[in-house]
Amino acid sequence: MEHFTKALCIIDTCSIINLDKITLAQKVVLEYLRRFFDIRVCDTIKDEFLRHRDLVVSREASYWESFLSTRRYRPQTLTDDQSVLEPFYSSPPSFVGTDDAGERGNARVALELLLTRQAGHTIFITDDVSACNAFLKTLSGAFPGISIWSSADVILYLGAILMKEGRADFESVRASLRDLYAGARIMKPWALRSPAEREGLIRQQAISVKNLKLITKVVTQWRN
Amino acid sequence: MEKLIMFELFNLKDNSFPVTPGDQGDTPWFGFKALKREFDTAFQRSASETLRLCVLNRGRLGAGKTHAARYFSERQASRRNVGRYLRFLPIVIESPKQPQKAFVDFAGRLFNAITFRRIVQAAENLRTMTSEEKLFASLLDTTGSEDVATVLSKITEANLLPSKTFLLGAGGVKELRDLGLAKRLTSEHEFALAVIGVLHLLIHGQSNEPGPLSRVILWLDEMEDLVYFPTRYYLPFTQAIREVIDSTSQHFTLLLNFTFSEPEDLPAIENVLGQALMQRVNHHIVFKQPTAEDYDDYLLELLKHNRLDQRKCSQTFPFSKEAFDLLIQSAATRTPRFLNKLCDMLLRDLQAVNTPGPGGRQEISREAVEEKLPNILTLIEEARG
Repeated sequence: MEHFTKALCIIDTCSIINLDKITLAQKVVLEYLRRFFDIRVCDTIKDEFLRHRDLVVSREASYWESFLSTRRYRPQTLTDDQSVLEPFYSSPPSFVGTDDAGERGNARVALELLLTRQAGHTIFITDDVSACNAFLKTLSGAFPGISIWSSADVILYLGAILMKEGRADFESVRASLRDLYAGARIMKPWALRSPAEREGLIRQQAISVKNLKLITKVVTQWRN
Repeated sequence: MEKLIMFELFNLKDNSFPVTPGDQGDTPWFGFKALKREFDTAFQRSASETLRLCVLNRGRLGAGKTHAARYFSERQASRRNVGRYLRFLPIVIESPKQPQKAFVDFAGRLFNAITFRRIVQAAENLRTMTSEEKLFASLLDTTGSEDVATVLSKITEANLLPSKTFLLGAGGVKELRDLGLAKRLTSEHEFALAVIGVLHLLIHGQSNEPGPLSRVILWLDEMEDLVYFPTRYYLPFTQAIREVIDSTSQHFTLLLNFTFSEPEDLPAIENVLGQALMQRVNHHIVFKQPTAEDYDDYLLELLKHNRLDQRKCSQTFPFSKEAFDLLIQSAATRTPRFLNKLCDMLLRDLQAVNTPGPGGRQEISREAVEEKLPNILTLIEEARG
């Protein structure tokens, strides 16, 4: 573990909230995130986190208020959302107000860290599908050094390591994935859940579990 | 001249194109003969075999799964001397919507759908046939719970309210003591035992004379909602369902409706239902993508069934043959619900501008449908969410 190079990771508020409710091997996923990744965020993320403080419940989340302050990164050159990010939108927004402000700020952080060679690669964690479709996928296509991960990807990444170390098994990681797909939307009243959203959840969960099965095949090499 | 109401102008009953099945208790079936045969086969198996049958019905949203549940349940409810059974007892309930107390919700929905009076009647029949002690013994043997066996063997009109309170998981100390019970139902396991006991009564107690048993046909709709269950609620719920299934290994047909646009993708469905439940499924019915011919038969039969006056009318009326074909074409990759919605919106739209032709009836032309179609398709698409 002493030679372990942490991947640089930029995380969105919605993913912090989603992963706060998920445990893996008796620990909240946020704790692994803090320990396994070199986290960086833009200024907006801490503000958003404080605004949604009532949505996070774990003890670990209470560390995150100060933790996020220490992991803030303020871009020196890429300081303006509109001039940096407008080319990545097919229909650019007004860039006024708080909509997607966290994702946009984080995107500038990711780009500057990459282009100034402060990071060889950045992982951008977000569960905001609309922001992904609006500009993040295009940005990641143009800058392959930025990979977009969902919270499910985080669970698979951590699950693989914990399974290899014998601290988690297939069923427990699968349970965490189920919790993510179920629990991440727990704030939403039943009546507001659309059939299309449910279809998406079933499909994404199937993909995640399929990937987990592949991970298991590799991890078992350490058991044989 | 008196103004015509809604679809009368088109010689059709008002609610000709329902989006969801109504509650009137007279659900019709149009077209889709192959699918109907598949269900008939499942019910034939249920009539001739004693072993439990667990059917997984899978298909897209709007493919007709809830409709099938209503239609077949209504049809099976009225049959007597069905194969080796006195009768079928169909029950349709939705999957629970409160993950925190899912099995309690499930048991409550089930008991209310069965009705407590029916449970009382079954218990009374069995007491008449044997005795309260023997009924207690058989319930204890089936459920392994003295409390459940006590309540169900003693349930009468006189103690219906406290018994009902107990079975729904409530009740104070005095009520429990009066019924001779130790404690309230709390865990999923205890509720599962109550469900198992009630199913036992229904299967054995439909008559007060010795004779053939009855078969419970339990239809669970919207099982895909289990995707919203976090593991801490999901596991106890599915475990309790398994207990019910495994303890009712005979005279029981369980039908699970699962909405998914890729019904052939069983691993995706298994992720939601769980391996244990999937392993108990021994019959599959897939609501396949309908062909143009399926839709043709469906819409023709629907129009015929809903016609106010069958005389002097073309098969496709109120649509011209060309307009009818265009509608079928527009629904090609969609579902029966989509076709219903399309027809309903189209007729509502047209009736606002139409006036009766000679003799009061005018066919809707292909051109009229073509004009309205883009707007209606956009509206339906937007409403999908």
